[in-house]
Amino acid sequence: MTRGLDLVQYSKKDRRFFLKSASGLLIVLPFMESLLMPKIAYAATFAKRFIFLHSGHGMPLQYFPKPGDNFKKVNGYKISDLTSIKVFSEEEKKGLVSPILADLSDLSKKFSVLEGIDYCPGADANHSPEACLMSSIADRQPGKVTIDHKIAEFLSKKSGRSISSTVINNGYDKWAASVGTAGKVVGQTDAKQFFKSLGFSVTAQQAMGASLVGDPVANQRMNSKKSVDVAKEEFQLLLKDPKISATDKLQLQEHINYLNELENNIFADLNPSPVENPNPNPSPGGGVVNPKPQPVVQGCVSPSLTNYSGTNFDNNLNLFIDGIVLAAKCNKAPVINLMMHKYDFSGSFKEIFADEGDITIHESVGHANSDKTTKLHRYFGSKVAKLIAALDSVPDPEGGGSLLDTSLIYWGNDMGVSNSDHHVKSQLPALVAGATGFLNSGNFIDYNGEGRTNDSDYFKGNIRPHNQLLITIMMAMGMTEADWGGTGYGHYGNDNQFFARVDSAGGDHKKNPLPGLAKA
Amino acid sequence: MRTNLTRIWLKFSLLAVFIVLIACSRGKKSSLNVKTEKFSSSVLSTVQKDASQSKQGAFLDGPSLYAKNCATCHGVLEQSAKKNKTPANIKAAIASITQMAHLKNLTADEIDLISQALQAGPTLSATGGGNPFQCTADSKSGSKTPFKRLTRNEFVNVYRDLFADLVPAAALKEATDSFPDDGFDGVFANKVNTKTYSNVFGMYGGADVIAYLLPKSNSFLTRYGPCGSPDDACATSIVNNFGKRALRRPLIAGEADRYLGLYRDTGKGVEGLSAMLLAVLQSPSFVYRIESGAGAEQADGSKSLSAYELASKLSFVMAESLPDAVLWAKAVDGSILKNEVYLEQLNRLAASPQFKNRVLDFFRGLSGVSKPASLSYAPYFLSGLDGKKVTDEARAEFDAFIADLVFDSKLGYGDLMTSNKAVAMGSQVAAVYSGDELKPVMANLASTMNASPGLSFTWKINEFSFSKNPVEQKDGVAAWTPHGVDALAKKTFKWAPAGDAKFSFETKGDALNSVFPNLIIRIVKVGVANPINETKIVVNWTDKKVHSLNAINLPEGDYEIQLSSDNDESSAQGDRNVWIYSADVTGSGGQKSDVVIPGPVALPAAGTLAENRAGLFGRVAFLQSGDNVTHLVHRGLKVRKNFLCEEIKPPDATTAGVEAGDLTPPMPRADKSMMLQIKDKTTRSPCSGCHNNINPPGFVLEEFDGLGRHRNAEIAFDNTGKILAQHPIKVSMRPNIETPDEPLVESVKDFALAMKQSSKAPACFAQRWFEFAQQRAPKALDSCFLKDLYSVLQDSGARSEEIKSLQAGQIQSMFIALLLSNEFKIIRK
Repeated sequence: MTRGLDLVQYSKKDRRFFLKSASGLLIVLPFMESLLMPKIAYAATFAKRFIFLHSGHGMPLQYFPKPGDNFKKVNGYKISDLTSIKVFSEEEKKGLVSPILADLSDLSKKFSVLEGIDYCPGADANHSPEACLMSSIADRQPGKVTIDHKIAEFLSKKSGRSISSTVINNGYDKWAASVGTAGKVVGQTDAKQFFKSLGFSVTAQQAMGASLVGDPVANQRMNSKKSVDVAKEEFQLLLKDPKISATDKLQLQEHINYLNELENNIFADLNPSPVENPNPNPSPGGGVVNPKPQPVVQGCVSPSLTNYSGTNFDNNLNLFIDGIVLAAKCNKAPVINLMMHKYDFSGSFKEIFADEGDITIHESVGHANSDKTTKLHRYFGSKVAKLIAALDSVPDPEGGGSLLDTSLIYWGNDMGVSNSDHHVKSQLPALVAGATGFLNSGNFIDYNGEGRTNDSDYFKGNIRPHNQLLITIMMAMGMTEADWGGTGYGHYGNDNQFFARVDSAGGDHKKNPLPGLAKA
Repeated sequence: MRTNLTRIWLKFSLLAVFIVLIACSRGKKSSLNVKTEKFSSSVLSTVQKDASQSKQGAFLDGPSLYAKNCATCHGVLEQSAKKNKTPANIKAAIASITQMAHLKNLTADEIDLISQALQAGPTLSATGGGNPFQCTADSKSGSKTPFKRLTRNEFVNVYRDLFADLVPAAALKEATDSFPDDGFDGVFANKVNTKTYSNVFGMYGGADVIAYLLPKSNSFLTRYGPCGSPDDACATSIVNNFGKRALRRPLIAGEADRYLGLYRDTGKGVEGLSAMLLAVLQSPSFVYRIESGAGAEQADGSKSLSAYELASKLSFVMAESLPDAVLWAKAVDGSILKNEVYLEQLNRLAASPQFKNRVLDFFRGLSGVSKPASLSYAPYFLSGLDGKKVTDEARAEFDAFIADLVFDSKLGYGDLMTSNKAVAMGSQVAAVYSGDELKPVMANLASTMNASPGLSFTWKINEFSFSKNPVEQKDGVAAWTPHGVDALAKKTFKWAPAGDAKFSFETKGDALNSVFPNLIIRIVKVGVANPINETKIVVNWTDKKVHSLNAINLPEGDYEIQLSSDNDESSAQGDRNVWIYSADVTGSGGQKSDVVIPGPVALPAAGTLAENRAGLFGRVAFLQSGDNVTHLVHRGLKVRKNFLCEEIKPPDATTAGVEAGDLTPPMPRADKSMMLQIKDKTTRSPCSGCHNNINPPGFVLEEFDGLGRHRNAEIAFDNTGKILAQHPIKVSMRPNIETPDEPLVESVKDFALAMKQSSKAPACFAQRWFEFAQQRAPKALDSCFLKDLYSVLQDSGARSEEIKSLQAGQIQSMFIALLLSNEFKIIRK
């Protein structure tokens, strides 16, 4: 997906023209790292969907992905050195054995792993996946939204469709209902409902078990669409009633916008010209200006859910992954958060701990920093592998490579170190895949700066703010500072002074993408 | 336009400069070519933003409009100096103040939205028991009444009431599963009135299932036709009859025609009827509670609700669903507008289980009893109890306590704060309450468990303890409760079928072996005077030891195991704790049965809990945190926000003076209690501003652990169950409920008493009921209404005519007062 092609005629200036017009500035502008960065945005193609995967509690970092202290010996750079960002060579990477990433080993060219990223601790930040999308949930206040909403808003404007952030969680997590939502989106916890919400041909007959595979009768779907149209007409008539208050008008309009989104999601193939949203959506997912037709993709049907019970964790998680792939293929739900973790679960977890009895995930696994912790995260890693491989195997219907190339996947964790004493927000593990027009893949990138003595150092030394990863993600989606508003993104807190050090060699962590991750 | 072009050109030039610089510095050809070239995305976004902004104005919400138009001069909304300004005030200011002239283009709707955003909550005056709500001429006008989307519970109940006997149960479940949870926004889940894609899709998904099935249901066609098959005449009848019932009002002009047009357009018959019903079930009048009022608008801007609206409102508030058949009939014939009929219906619903459940929901929300949704108690922390069962039983006990207080005993707010009345409860939660007597035992048990993590407890330690603890201090010397051979520990169990039963006990204690050497075990069949078996075993209390009895043949039946001593140690040597680590019953002939423990058990005195279990705050369900630590700040916040209606914002790491790590929750430590850790973090500015209020309730509640057990010391575990330390709990703080100089409190009981004696706490209680029932936060304009509620609750001063007959001083009366009030029967737009 490219951006700005409608303005292409302006760019057909020769190099000499630029040299002439810019010669005065050339003299006064120093060479700085920051000047390199804008080029990235102009040269890249952008991702068109964003998928966030979260697994909670700390991760045993010694296994993600480096073994023990060996890694430290090859690390260590001077912040004054412009080459301080360590991108490991193929030879060096061979020594970086990762039990957690074991199931991803065959896909190592498809993603990058980041090390040495911190975020600012915020109030009540422990075990809050939302923090991964706003660099602390201290920002979880009215008007402050996570980047998934910002991306949805941006994609809405771009596509002319009303787009929301779709939130899925496994139903075991008390926090998950607020993943990336700032309280705005209610998560889907049931795979069947998830497929239905994506509009995958789950009609009433199918829902009742008549047939859960295959497209339903087109006639009935057309009737359903007409029903939605009539319901919408009732809303519009009410909206015109001079007696209703401004507050009520606002909520009726919001409802109409979501009905439009529903029609665009479910009945796109029946409606070559998507429903135009005459008024922008007041919620963060809105802002529809000029709807553009969506291509109709064949095979957009739900998998068979006949025997689906909704109670098997592994089965549910696999179906969520399948749903994300199907959503990508069929151009639905371009912003998805998936909470994978069983956060505060107590009981039998045979999918992973087959030989154990009842297990308490939070205490005896999540914070234990033990083999069990590694095992748990390897399990989640296997699901990430499943998603990456599946997306990579399907060509994007609109071109531009595979679905993986046109998607941006961020697998993150709100805590960096798993131990019993701290809920440490430093050294956040991060895996980024896809968005190949903008991001490098196949790298292990260490941002650890001078002065960091161990993994649990909290804002010690020269650290790389998690905020910059958020900016990188948004830039990879084609967004600019004007789209997310303000300088930088999210919460920097009083630790800004530490973050600022990374700029001492040039660059601007509040404006530029992460070096090494973004393509130069 | 020219400015924009200039801006674009400037940006373009700068972009070009950068690109050239890059190209030159790296010696590469610029990437600016036809195939891959992209233009400055900032230029594009500027264009898009301008375009969208031009259309966005009318649809910004109040806070956004305020931020855009007002905040520059009047500060951020939360601290605005223009709180409570009416639309008329704002219009007048725009007309007369030069600096506001640029706001003349604001529409009436926009001004209304700004005014709504500026409406603050009621202000309380500290009166030390008097009515703190100020009913002024302004607040007599009341605040506006927005439409309300049905909550998930309401959707589920409405679907149940409309369709349960018309579609298969599986279909109804399939439909109602579509509705997503509302989530909590503040105190009550039902306050949420947001719309999201999930909500709107859920409405579609649920309707889709039902609308598909209804036309195939003869019962449906008969009930709402009546007709035998879905022909045109049938469709007409159904749209009017079913439409009226589902939309809770007769269809208005043109409405039926639109639905029938859909019926025709979608092929008529079954398919047409399905499509028509699908539209009805997604229409605004079904999805929202729309109240427009009837008759003329009054001088204060109010209009009376129509008969249909009033019946619906009463039903949704009291039963969380649409009107039942009886109430519906009163709406249809209009008689619900008559006071006597309204009162009759109100009384009928007030006696219904649905209303009782609504009241329980109110208290559950207020007390956070439905949270946490998940539990993560560690086995070493539970000491053999079952966390899930304790939680389930604690919630049931909480409900029983509230039901008794409100409906059976008809008590007041003070009793809510102080009553330690015991109600029926399950064995697990009874064990938690009975543990009030066993604080040292629990600590030792945990320690031993840590050493032997594989221990399996069939019965619980504290259920068998017959220790005694000091109950009072006399002249500085501990006085002991009587202790003797009659102090039996008992458990009942069922045995079936008949066969040999084997008993084993694992013992340890700090009793003196020389004084208290024997443990007497009696097996008694219920209803039979003499024991079937009595065994004396010699116990070395110093070491943990398993004692097994010879097999005893037991017929099928109910039995009691009694444990006792043959000596009265306390009379000679002072008190000692003794306990049984485990007690297991197995049978070679019979099958091991579940032990049935009758409850309540081991309560200090018949009918009451320990005195430290003061009121609501002493109930296990209120105290449960869901994991091994108490989360004392959250507990404190719960009291301040939910019970004292204080707005406390989350801490902001950017505030000057907040240091890295300040906002990280503490973990159990060997050197400091959790309380001390919080104290260290919060006694300095800026944290002290809020924590001076949060800490007092949070700290006094530390006398109960995260499961709700009473304790004298915080046992600090690491995450393997190892005990790091035991920190004594001692608190003496000023509660800061109304004034900073209130007397010191040292316990939950003290704090609850201070709540009872204040006017702020019951005033907040009245506000919360308003919020729960009206599904919106009260504003200053609602103060007269709130004053009435307070008067009824606390029997404090005059009140409106229509609620004078209510028995003051009862919580139940205040609940009813809201529903009886004239204010309940009107709307303002």
